[in-house]
Amino acid sequence: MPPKFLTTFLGGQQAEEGADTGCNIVRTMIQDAPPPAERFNEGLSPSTMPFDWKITPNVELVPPTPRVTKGHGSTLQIRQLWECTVTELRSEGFVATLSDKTKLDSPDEQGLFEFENIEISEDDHRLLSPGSVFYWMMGTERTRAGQVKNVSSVEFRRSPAWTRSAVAQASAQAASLKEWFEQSEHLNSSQG
Amino acid sequence: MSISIPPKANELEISIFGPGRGESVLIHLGNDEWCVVDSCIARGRRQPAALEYLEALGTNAAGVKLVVATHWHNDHINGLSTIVRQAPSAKFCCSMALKRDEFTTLISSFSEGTEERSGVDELSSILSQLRQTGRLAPMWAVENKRLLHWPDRPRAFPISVTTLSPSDVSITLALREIAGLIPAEGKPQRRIVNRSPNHASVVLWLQAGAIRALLGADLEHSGRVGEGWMAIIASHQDSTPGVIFKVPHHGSPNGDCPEVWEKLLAQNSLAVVTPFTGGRVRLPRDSDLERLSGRTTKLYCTAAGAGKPPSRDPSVERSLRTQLRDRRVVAGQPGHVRMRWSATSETAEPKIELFNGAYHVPSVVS
Repeated sequence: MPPKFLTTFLGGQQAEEGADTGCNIVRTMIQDAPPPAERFNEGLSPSTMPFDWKITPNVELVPPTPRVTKGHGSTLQIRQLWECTVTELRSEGFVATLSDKTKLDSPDEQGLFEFENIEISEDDHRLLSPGSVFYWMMGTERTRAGQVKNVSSVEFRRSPAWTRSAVAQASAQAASLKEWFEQSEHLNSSQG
Repeated sequence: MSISIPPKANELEISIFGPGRGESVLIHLGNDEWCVVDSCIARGRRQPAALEYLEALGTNAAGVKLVVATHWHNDHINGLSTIVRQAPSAKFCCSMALKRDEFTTLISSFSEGTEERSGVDELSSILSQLRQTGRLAPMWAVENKRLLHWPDRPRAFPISVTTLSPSDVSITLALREIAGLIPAEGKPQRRIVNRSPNHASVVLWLQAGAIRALLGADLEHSGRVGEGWMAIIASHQDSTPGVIFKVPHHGSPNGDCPEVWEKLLAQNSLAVVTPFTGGRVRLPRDSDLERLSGRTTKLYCTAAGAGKPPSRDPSVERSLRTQLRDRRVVAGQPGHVRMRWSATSETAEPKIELFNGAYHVPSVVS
């Protein structure tokens, strides 16, 4: 049996056995188009109309062709990425430890970021405190117009706050640890 | 001089490693049995320096009988959980301060695998391993607690390891700092940054035959009675002076207590300092080396520094120069000072060998 929508379109007539799916799709789209009144006036019923005739000019059967533009849009090639941990705040800036995420066997480094030399968004400034983590990226950006420029950006990690359940879970684990300490303490001392 | 020649059964060895961030001490207790105090990992390596050295000697961690974490800061216990895992018969010791509710809550908040990178996660990993494998809970270090005492027979020499700290007052001070780090509902999750003083650090006293060694960890000197080094001097029980001193807190002035040199150590005792490049200033400073070398002609340092930063893409280097000041590497290759004594001989003069950039600090004593 053909799908119900097809039966409806065909005015109650049975569709041909074995009609292929592609044909069904075309007919489905035609269903949305207003019937061409002039053809009906010629006494033709929809079922006897030639197939291509049913396509009206305002129905798109293929997706629109993408617009062709010069270049391929902007691209960013990351040359260097660090995960940094703020260790100290100072009046002129902050000290951070840099862990290289581009070359993992590189040693950790430490340095002072001065506020006057590094751009941090206003939103990120409130996250700046000892223990906060940020990502420092350096790379080359190619704009859609073909311009190439070096870029550097700092983005602070938004960590979730401690939840009540996480704090409660930690307390429960701590109690369990203490219990283990107590249990093994007398055994520890007896083994000298 | 070959690093791979193992110590003889009757030889005491103290090896001190220091890569520029943290340190590790490996002690041969005789008969291929070892004690590990703290741990550090060389840059670009996965294994702790102490385990790599044991492998170089043709042995392994199975002979490690005691593992001590002097304190919980990452630069001192990085990789210690690996050592504990590979040394199934080793007992584990850490500061009594870590047994208290404040610290157990802190540890439980940062469970294993969180990449917290402060040392709390490493300690959490150690405790999980001990518990899951049915091993004993840690031994808790306090003033004058004997961790290990083996008589000379059937061994070549008697040996004992005793903790000299922390004192009760030091524990209280440490807990006050730890309490401020405990997560509270609504507070943002942040990494723990180790900037607090090391009140609860575990100092060790080693007795091997006639030889005494003082391993100073990172214990600081406040000058107040009952705290830090003052508490140790007041309660120390062995009348035989030490002939080797692992200088505390990377030779910094706040770890320096002149009375320790006068009351606990022999004149011109052997001293080893490890560098630290991850703080506000690089330690030891020239002035620190000058002060220390004024007290002994036998001062050694495990490494001159952590080395140069790796070279990167020129555009990256340019950005680094304009945006980052006072850039430095915080962990390099661990230099190694190795001292060996025949614990059964009359002489207390050790054989000293220096590896991987360790050096003798010229004396300022005329």
